[in-house]
Amino acid sequence: MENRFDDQKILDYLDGVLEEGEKRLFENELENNSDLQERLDLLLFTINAIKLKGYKHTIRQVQQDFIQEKLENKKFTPFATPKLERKKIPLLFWGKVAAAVSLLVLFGFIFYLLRTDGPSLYEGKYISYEIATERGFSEQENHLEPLFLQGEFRQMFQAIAARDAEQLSAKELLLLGNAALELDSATASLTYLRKLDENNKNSGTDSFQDEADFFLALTYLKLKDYQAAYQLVDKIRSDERHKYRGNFSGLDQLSIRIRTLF
Amino acid sequence: MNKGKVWTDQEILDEISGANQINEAVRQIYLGYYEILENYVLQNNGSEADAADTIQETMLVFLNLIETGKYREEASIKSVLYGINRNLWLTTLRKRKSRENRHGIYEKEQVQVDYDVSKSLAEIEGYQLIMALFEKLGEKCKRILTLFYYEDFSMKEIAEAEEFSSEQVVRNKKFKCMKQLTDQLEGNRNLYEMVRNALKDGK
Repeated sequence: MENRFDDQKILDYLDGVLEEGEKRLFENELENNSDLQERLDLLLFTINAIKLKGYKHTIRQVQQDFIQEKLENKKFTPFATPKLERKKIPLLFWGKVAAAVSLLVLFGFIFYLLRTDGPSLYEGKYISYEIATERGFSEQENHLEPLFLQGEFRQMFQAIAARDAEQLSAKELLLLGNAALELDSATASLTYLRKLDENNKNSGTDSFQDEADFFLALTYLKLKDYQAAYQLVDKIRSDERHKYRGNFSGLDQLSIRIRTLF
Repeated sequence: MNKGKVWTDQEILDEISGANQINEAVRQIYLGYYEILENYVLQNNGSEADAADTIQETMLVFLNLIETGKYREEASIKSVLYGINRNLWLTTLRKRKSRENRHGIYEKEQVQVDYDVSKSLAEIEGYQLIMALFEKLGEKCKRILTLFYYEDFSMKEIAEAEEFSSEQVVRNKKFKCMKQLTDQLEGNRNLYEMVRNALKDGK
């Protein structure tokens, strides 16, 4: 069958710029003209290929950035120190060397403390939250728990999408905060863990307070909010009965303290 | 959409099909699912580089499913991605000569290729052929077609961005570029047949 419509018209139809009357005519023709339908399919296929080309470029860029970030989180570049030459030198010189070495050690120590920035401390200290078996959870909590245990973190946010943040229980807030950390979104985690902390303060309760302190501290570290992280680490380490007391060392605390000075 | 927040499946799908924040939507998918997809390849005789290549192609097939309206919303993004990734990786293994790897995998898993996914894979092969022809176009043509069909620019916006004197000039130029592309395709009988087959398979 012969086509009354050329490629320009077909493209106008696909681009949505045909006038209403012309569009109706075109669609009527399309119903009865298999050649026209075939041509339209081919042009549509070509357009989709162009779109896919754009997607391909986007995917490549995002993947490159993602892998780069992933590598940077793992990477550690050792610090190379030059070798000293062996010479016969007076005692005074050795005194100077000793002073220099002491300085070097001091700088090395400071360098070590500075090297461990928030995100790297986070990587070193992060542990996945383990759900303790307790009785009396509400239906909703029972709904989030299996998702958390199965690692369906994204689905957890879908499950609570229609609910007001005020309605979320302490356990739900804790699970959501941890799910966000598992998904590498410290900003989202902050919202839920802060809410849990605030709720406890406002109601005078301490539901999952130790967990909130620990995971909030980690979240702040990930976000490089050293002041906030330091306060929590200090709180955790000062409390002898805190569940997570052993998870931060004095050196970690000092390292964070130094970061707060910059 | 807040970039710091974790997006739900629906939000990701809406942003992609609305062509709003595609970069961020794709990034969210990488953050959420890269590790799962990578693990599958690593646990089945693949390297990190194999995983990276397979995941890149998985994303392309996934976006094509959404673009062509074949994504069934009752399925979660995770399960669809996992299915595509598995099919692609098994296809790669099949193509490789290592019989050892091949038997290892096929004994362990029964390959259940989802109908829509397999159609999408066939389509992608056809698209790749057109993409190769697209690369042969001049820079200006590539820009105009990409801006119009991928970036969703209007003729007026393209005229301004590419310094054309009017929208009509852009429209004419865009048509010429499309014609160049289809002429190239029709000029190569083998290629044309392959694309037509891919088109039929994809239906």
